[in-house]
Amino acid sequence: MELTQNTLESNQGNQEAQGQQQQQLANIRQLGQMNTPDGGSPFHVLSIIGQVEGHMILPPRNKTTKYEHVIPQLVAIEQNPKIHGLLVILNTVGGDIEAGLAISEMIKTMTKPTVSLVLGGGHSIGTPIAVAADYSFISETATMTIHPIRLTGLVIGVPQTYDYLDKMQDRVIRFIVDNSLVTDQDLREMMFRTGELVRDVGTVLIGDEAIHCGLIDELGGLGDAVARLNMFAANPGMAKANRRNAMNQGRQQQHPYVQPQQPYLNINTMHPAPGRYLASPPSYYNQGPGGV
Amino acid sequence: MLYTIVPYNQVWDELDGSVSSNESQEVMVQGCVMQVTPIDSGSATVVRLLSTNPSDYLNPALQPGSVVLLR
Repeated sequence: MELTQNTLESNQGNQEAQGQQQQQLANIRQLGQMNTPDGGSPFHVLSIIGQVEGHMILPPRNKTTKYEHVIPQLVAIEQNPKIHGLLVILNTVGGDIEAGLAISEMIKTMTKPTVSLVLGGGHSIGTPIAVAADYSFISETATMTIHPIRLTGLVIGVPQTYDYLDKMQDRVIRFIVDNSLVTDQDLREMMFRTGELVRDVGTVLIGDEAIHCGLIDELGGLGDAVARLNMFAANPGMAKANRRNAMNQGRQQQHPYVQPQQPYLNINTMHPAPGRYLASPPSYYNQGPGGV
Repeated sequence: MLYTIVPYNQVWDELDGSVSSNESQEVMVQGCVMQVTPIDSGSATVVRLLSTNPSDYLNPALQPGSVVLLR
């Protein structure tokens, strides 16, 4: 009974859709203009849920996000002038490395503003996807697990296998470090940390912990993410410029050695270059104990 | 190659695979890509939408569980 009712309803929907199509055709013929489809959302939403599925089809019990769906969608979003931004919602347990990195690279290189929101979990390969966006949010209760790539249950006996695993890991680490404020050193430290038991090695970051280590930009939820997208959409170019600035500033703060260093002594005057030494010693230098 | 927190044996375990995704197929109805389970040659039940357009999810005719006509 319910079934037939549903069928009827969708029948009706279909007829309506056909009616709309005819209306559109009529408009094109008579007025030479196309009807814009609904007043729909200017932002599209990409949800990365369950396992990210790549080259291998996973058994049906896994809930998956398939890259053959996601990648064309990203291309369509990039090309459609009516779409002004992309919200990436992550609740993933990880998945295929190549598929995950491919999605991350596509999100990173989009010209439309992108904002990511980690809800529930953004583990393993979810991390590069989360940091690929122009701005990233994590909800208070969401977790991100940073752990090494491993082949559970297999003994790594051949050196090539280990090298390959290591290279794959470096690809992921490089992407995360290049696109967030976390340092290579910190990320590796978290990845191989023993003691915080995530099956021997790894770190679970909960909510703002992911912000403190520089992985994610801000604590927030859906409203914050949409507000941020609105802001980016209203100021074209702001999203990418912000991202670049943040990356540069963050790098300089965290890696003083990448700052352009002035030469130690000026070759002509043989005086120390300005800025290398303070003009006068800091005030506490002359003070005795107790600041007197 | 997987990078996941789920143990491999859990990912690849095909035992008691009661939900077979072989039955579901992907179709486009009213401009929206979705996963459906066919009822007969002309109609199918919506399993989930794969669209990125948030307004598709508000369309009552496309709610998961509803029946759509295939052409």
